[in-house]
Amino acid sequence: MTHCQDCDQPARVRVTEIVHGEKHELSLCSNCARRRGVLTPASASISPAAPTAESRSRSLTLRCAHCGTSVATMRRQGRVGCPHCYRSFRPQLRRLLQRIHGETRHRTQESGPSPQALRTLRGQLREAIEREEYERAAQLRDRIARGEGPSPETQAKP
Amino acid sequence: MTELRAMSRRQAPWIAQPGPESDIALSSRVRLARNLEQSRFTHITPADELCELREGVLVACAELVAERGGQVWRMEDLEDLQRRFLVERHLVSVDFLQYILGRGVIVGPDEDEAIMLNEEDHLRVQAFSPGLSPHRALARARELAESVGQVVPLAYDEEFGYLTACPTNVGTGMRASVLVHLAGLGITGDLDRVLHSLRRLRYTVRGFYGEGSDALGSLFQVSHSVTLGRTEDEILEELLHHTRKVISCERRARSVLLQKDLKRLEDRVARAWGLLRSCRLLSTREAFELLSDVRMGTMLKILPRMDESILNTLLISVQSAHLQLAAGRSMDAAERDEVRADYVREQLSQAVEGDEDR
Repeated sequence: MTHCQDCDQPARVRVTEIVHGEKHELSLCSNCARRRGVLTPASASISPAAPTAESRSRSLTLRCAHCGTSVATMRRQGRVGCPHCYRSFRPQLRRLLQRIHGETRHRTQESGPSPQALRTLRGQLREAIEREEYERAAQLRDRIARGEGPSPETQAKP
Repeated sequence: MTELRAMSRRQAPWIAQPGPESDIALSSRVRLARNLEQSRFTHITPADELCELREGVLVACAELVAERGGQVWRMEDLEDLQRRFLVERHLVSVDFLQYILGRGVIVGPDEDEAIMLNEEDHLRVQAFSPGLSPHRALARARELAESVGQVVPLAYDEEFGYLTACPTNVGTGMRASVLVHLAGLGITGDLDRVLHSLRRLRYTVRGFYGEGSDALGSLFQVSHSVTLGRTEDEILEELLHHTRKVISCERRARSVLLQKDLKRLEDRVARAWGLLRSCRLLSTREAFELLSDVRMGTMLKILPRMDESILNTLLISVQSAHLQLAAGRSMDAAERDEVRADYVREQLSQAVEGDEDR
């Protein structure tokens, strides 16, 4: 599915225009099409996008356990309810992100640990100090200093 | 709120100072959207909880803010005029004023960094830099966001990156933009073609005041829309590439005007200069249009050299809330037009003299 080039909503209208002898293809949602004068409010309602099987599936009633937002609400508002929604609705959001960005995976600049991994490490370091496990604390401190992530066995811990 | 009044009389360094390509690219801005791990996004959070959330962030960041000499404003504590002043100053967005209660802003001492609290995202870390220098703005914004990340747990996912209220911002959470002055393209009539080709590349082109604002004074903000799947540097490289193309289109338009239509261009610039230096009533819109011609005329050496920092600052300080805050009282439109005309005449005299002194 393509997206409106003005606002990233799902595109409903495809327009071909010729400017200075050059042909341009525009993909627009109904709102932006109306704003650009391509569509009148009446003509927009004649051809609503066919609902896909996917949008009609049960997934619409799924709710995020953390904030109670459902997939349907999320779609209507164009906003996600809370950070946990991204985990609750991972497959649905993956598809959405693919459409918006053409990608689903964040790429980090540095090869070093993510903020998440760093937080895990710092937490483990605090625990180690509290338990007076100084040898382990020193190892953890060095890992943080070297910009390494948590070691595999500690990462597996819940 | 005497600080705000003092600010209204100061230059904003990020637009006043020269930078790379600043004859056409006035400034660069980078915004990083960040959210708290355990809180709902702002659009479904009641105002009292937004206040709590804001106070929590301010407590956690107190040391950081003090170290950097930042100032904090809670939106509900400000008068409407002061809030609009912050918008004119580009420290908060136009949309930020849609809701007041629970929102706030932290501003760095040189106004080149700011954090909006409880806009669409819990935190919007912003940095500005003069000219075409988005990498400089990014370095600053990132360093600030990282410092904040050390005191408040930020929502981050291994797969999706930084989690934001709107999926269009997820990943880097970054939006970088460059403010460009395209007066030449406006005259030659090639502006629409250039803006159209940017939009086809999925770039957003907006007016000076962001979303929904029109192109006052031939000033446009060019920004990317992809935030996921590419690193911040890759996104900036592409933005630089496309912005440089726009800049070269503008330079070409200006040289065409110089070669083919010099008299008409000189006449246009001289008229703008004459009007600004002698008019007695001046609306914001007219001020922007005339300042745009004068700015281009100065860059093309049609007008005598003048202090550019004053000229650039006028693009911010001729606006209504600035004039009223500086005067210390609210004024109706007619009175503002009068005060604006006086203010611009006085500033332009300074700009010419200031340059002669150097």
